[in-house]
Amino acid sequence: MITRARILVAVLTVVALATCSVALLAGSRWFAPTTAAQVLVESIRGEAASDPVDTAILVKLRLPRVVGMFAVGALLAAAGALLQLVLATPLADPYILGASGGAGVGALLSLWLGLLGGTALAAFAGACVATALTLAIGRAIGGSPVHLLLSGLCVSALTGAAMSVLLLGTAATGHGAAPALAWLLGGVIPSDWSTITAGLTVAALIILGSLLFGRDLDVLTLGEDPARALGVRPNRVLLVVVLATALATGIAVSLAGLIGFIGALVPIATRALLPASARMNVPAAALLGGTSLVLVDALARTVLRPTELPAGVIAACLGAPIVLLVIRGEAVGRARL
Amino acid sequence: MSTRRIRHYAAALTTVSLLALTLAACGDGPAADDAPARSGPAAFPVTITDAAGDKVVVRDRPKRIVALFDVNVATLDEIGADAQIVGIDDFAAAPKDAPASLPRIGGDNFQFDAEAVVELEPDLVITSIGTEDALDQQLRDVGIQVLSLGYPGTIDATLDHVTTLGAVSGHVDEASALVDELRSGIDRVTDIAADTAPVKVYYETDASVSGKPYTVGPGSLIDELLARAGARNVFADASGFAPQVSFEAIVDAQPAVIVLADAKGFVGPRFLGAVTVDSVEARPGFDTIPAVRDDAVRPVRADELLVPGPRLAEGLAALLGAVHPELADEATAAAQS
Repeated sequence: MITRARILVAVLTVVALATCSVALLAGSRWFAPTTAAQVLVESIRGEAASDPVDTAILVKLRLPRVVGMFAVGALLAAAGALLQLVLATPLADPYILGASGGAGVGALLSLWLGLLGGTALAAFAGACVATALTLAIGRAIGGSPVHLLLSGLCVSALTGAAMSVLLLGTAATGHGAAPALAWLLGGVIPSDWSTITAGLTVAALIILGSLLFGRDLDVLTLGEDPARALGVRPNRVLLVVVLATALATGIAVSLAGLIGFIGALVPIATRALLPASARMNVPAAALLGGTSLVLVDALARTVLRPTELPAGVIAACLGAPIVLLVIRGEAVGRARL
Repeated sequence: MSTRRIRHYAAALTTVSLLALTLAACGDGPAADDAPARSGPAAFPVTITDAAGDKVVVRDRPKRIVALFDVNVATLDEIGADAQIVGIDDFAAAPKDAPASLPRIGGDNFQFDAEAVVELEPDLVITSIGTEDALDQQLRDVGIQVLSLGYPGTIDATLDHVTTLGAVSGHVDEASALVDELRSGIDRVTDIAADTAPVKVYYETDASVSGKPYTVGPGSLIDELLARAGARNVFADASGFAPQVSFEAIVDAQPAVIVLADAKGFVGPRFLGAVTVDSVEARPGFDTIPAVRDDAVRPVRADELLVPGPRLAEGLAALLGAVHPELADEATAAAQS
């Protein structure tokens, strides 16, 4: 099984690199691989561009978009995998603890106040505040994963109501409805390299953490008492996981808006294909999540070229049936054994 | 409501469900079936096909009209029906001779005060796209005649719209005169650019969504006006009449002129995310666009002029002036003479 898992992670890495490469070539202008390589090499060496328009499109616009989307997909899927493990339910996703609603409220609040440039930061702050609130309420009512889920449910309901009010508010201030909708549909293009770098760093740290502390996470899935008996402090692990996922979700939302399904469905798919080990599932989910979102975003900009579709919509349309097929395939496979 | 709000409403629908083509079809607008062209004011009853395709019979010349949507109000004012207007929405400019106390009946976020409309005891309410659920049905339920005229999406539809408003308000001759004046003004301006080689133009309506501005697509009024202004819309092959495009697609299109309908100082104070010429020129990769290199990024007063109302010839002249500055004076004179 471990061998099979290693092979799968290796395959996912290759597929991720291949998908990102193809995504770099696809868009309003298609590049031949040789042209793209030449443009990138020129740019890395700091040489004068032989075609400035190619360089502008490939290096200044498409590269941050592809890398940023990979970071977002990896963050969401890794966060989802972690939460599904520690909350012991395949229904968990990065948004289940209120981060999405919080980010939405933050984004809408900044739009409502007319702070268009501060939208990403406000989304990040909103995600963190809402998750902190979920954590505080969850601990106040008991502190177990179930209490945390219930608390997240309540915070999500509250932020949902707040978003509705703000959506009316942004529309009322004149012209906020379109950007607000874009945020909620995940229709934002990553462009800021410092946020993208932060996203990749956090994703790498989450993978590293899951490799180093995978045993603690796995033990936690046995239940709280067995975990304690084996020397793991469930609440501490839970706290670290929740903080890490809030950070991951906040950065992801600030980069690309609210993108659903990746964070929920990708970990379900990897979980169906891999043994229930955090050391395998979190890195695999991160790779598959990043790859999926890069693919989805490439489709979003090419299907109705030059018209852009929201990535979140395509992710939902493609993701749901594919994951159902994976789960069904796995179930059929198990039945045959 | 302003046309910009309607466009946002349409853009949101495009984003969510790609209903743009359906809406564009609505934009073809209703026509006055039996409105006699030159038979003077006493031509009632008048039968009109409304935006939903239903026959509406206006039995007598209306004495109390509530008009929503600035183009409806402006056109009624222009054809001498201003004295019949007893209420307008919150966004329309009041008729020139209207008292400051002219009642406003809402319109923020498509929320209308139906009770206020009923209190005005109108014998005709003229509405537009997007008000069907918010207002029209409620008024019909209490027996008030509602005429939903849709949003004129072409020059011909605009002229039909004027004719229709003349027929239902009992100002057939004035409407006919305005149609002639508009048609000849538009033709005179069109002639000016007829011999110039079409210039590639990118027309931006709203850039409040980070990295993915809205432009105009095929079948839109602006697309039609651009063709008459000696321009070729670089997104004439996009999907929908309010498509969202990426910076990448704009850089790829290499427009010779960029026309901004969303520039600070040229849009109302409630416009969220207005741009400046400098901010557009500073976008990543835009330094490779001919329009930016040649200082051909030009704002227009689109909300006042580039709407399907009585100032359309003037609007076309303004657009032509933005595309071909050397012809601006000639175009302005041609629109007025």
